[in-house]
Amino acid sequence: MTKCFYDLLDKLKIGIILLDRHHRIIFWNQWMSKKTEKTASEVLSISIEEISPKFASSKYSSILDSIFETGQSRFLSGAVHGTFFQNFELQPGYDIKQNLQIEKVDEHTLLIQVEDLTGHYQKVKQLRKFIDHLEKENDEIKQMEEISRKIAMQDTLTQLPNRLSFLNSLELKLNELKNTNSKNILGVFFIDLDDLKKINDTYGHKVGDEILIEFANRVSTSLNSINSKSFIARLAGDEFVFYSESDSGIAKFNSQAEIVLDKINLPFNIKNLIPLKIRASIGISVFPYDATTVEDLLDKADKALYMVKTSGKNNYEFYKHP
Amino acid sequence: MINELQKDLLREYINVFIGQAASMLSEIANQRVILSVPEVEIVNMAEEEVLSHNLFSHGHIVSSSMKFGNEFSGRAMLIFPAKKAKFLVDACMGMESEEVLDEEFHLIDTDFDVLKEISNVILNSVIGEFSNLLDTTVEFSIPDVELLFVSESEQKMYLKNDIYMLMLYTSFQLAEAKIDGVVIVALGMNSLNKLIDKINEILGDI
Repeated sequence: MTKCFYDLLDKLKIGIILLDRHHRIIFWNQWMSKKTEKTASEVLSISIEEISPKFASSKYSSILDSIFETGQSRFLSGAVHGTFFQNFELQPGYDIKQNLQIEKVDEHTLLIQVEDLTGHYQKVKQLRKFIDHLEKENDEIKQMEEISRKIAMQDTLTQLPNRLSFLNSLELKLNELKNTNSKNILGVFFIDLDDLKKINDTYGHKVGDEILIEFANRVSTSLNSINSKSFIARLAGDEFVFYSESDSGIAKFNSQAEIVLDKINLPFNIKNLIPLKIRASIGISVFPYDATTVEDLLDKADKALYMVKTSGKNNYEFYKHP
Repeated sequence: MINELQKDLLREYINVFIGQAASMLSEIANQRVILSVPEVEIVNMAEEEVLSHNLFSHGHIVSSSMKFGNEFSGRAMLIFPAKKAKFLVDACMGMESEEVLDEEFHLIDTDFDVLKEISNVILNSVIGEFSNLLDTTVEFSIPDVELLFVSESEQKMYLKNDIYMLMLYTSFQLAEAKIDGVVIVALGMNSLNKLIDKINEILGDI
């Protein structure tokens, strides 16, 4: 029966060690021999402290003594305590982790069960690395998406919102005014630079681009300073558009159009060139008087712009019903 | 169930038991760990008594439990919020804890091993010292640790199989974190009487 019992312990897939009262090894199963390359005959009667130096420290040897004294089992986790027995099945450099469960069998015997978790820890480590990698990739994708979103919604030359962005924003603003039964009105300003083609032909597109950038900067700065409830965008080429909300009638739109024209009429100082002067025409449609949809408001503002263009340019005009 | 005098004496003993657990825990965590027991109460689960404290807040909890037996027998449990358990694990592993959102919080296998050791140390001290106090041998093994999701209304349901509960509301004070937990010792009628008799005996001696 005893032989059969020890044979059974040899077949177990965990390490089994029995110690006597003086911490000497009285049983060492095959699993332990396989992992440590120390056979049972080599370790029998040798103290555990010699085989596993960790037990030589007072911290661990007192744990063994206290289990003998109190009969209370102890669990030592590999995550906290690390290596107790060298594992020669693994390549050097592995961080060996073993869980130990130590129990008193009787007054003279202590049982130590050793569970090697190195492989498991390694997998957890690799999995953590993989998750970190995925998280990093995810962050990069998010950043790229943000950039793509900006590109899709922004004019790359002037950094102003583009046509698509303006249409979306105006749609939302109209819905907001309609849904809240707001008394506020909304002016849609269509701006066309009168002389940009001439400048492009005379000085080249690079100078034309610099004027567009400077113009965008001047107009958006002045709008921001006078009214936060406005939104400006570059539609295409030399066409810009903005909408502005007013709670004090269309007088506000008059003054805004004048401010924009004043800003445009200031000379543009492009390096190595004499100060350049350009002019602009502005057509304005008003929600809800002229139209109530995005498309119609832009169409009416465009018609008003046409009126300015045909009557001398460098001015602004409200849409007039035929 | 017990009068104030009995309760005071019990609290005094338990403070000593828990103090021993704290010093063992300090050794594992490599930092000073203070375990305090602000309150002790005995609850009869069969009666509709209201617990003086919420055992755990709504959400995930880590529950370690083990049966102990012989002349003094029952079930011992250590319960604390899972998110806070992670602080304890990180401290024991010498890692710095990061504040994480509830939905990002997770415990992995190795964390459970550490929690098993923490529970082992604490429950060993408490139950071991009870057996010393009662001059009896108590047999018990290593606790099982599980992660559970419990709503506040399920608190008593979670404990319903046991009749008398000795509640020890504990708090772990680590360098940077305070972790509230509860040690519950569920006792049968005989074991509870044995404990009360012992307390009366000590009080009589005094």
